[in-house]
Amino acid sequence: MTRDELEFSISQYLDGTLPEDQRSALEARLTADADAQAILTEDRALTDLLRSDPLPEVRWDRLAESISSAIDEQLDERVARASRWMRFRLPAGLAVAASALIAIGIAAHLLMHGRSATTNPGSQMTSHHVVVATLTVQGPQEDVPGGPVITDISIAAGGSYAKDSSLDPYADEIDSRPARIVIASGMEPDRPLAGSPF
Amino acid sequence: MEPSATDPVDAAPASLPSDGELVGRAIRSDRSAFDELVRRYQRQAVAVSYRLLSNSNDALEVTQDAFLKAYTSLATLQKPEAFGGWLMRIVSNLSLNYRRSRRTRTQLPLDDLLGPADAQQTDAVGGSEWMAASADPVRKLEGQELGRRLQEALKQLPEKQRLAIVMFTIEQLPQKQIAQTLDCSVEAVKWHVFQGRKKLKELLKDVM
Repeated sequence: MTRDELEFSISQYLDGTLPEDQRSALEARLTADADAQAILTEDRALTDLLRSDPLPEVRWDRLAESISSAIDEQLDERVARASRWMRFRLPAGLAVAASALIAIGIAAHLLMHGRSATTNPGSQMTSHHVVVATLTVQGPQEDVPGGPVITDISIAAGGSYAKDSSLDPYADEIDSRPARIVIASGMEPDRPLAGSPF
Repeated sequence: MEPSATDPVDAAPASLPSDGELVGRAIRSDRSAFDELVRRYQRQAVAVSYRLLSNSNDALEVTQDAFLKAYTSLATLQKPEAFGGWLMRIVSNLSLNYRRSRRTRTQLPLDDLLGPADAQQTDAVGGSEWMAASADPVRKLEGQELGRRLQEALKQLPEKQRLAIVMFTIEQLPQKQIAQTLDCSVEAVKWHVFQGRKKLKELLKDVM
């Protein structure tokens, strides 16, 4: 047995963790070997020294109460946080969701029923299966050698409604089916147009 | 023959509900079950933390933090019957990483938690405040010096040896629980104790 092995055995013997089958052999050695006895004495002195430092006198019942209260406080805080969420965040979230639903509903309605240009003079509403808006622009006419620059512009629904039978009465008048048309006016004509409706 | 110290502390006698049962009930929101676990392990928690921090105030704060952390993480405990070892791991981690930051920490009412003599010792610095509690000034100084030397020596040990000495040699906690805390085998705990003891004998040769 090496010195290290002897010290390890003595350490376990002192702690009461030395296997039974090794105990009697070590005890025999301890009675005969002064060096082994010295190691045991040193280890015991160290253990006594380490254990000589007492623990603080704690009022355990109060400490348990204090820990329990701290847990309660933490739980209350969680409930309050959840309640705040319910009170402020949830309504705000619901409002946003409701706004989104309204916007989607309006968009769906517009897509389903098309856009109407009721405020524009000259527009007509025709209702069969779908509401169809037509805007007829009687363009400015100018006599030029090659004939009038613009004689007529007709705009009708495009996309899936373009082939709707309800549009048949207007078939001859439809010149184009653009996906998007922007009509805007922001400038004075560069020269006066006699007889122009604009 | 030396007395057996293999499992000197049994946290749950047979007549009482086991740790595993209490953990299960606590997870199902039974606060009284967790309160029972607190009563069962608070002494161990304070003792281990105090041995690592040498200050009762800090040890009590760490103990409270450890139980709070344990309560909120209880559902993550894979082996409910290993609650003691798991809790001691939380306590030792919090103690080893403890930094004094009074401004951000909740002050515990120490006068209420400590005995009258001990409540006056909470501001002691350097070494063990308890060894310095003697009324005799000479013995008090000797106690202070010895406590300081012990703490210094313990701090020089590698972490696992230090924890093994604190939990096994000083606090006499069950080896199995220490093995769970250190995440190693029972044989490894014996080895850490032996290595730590060997190093401490060298460091404290002049006071033994």
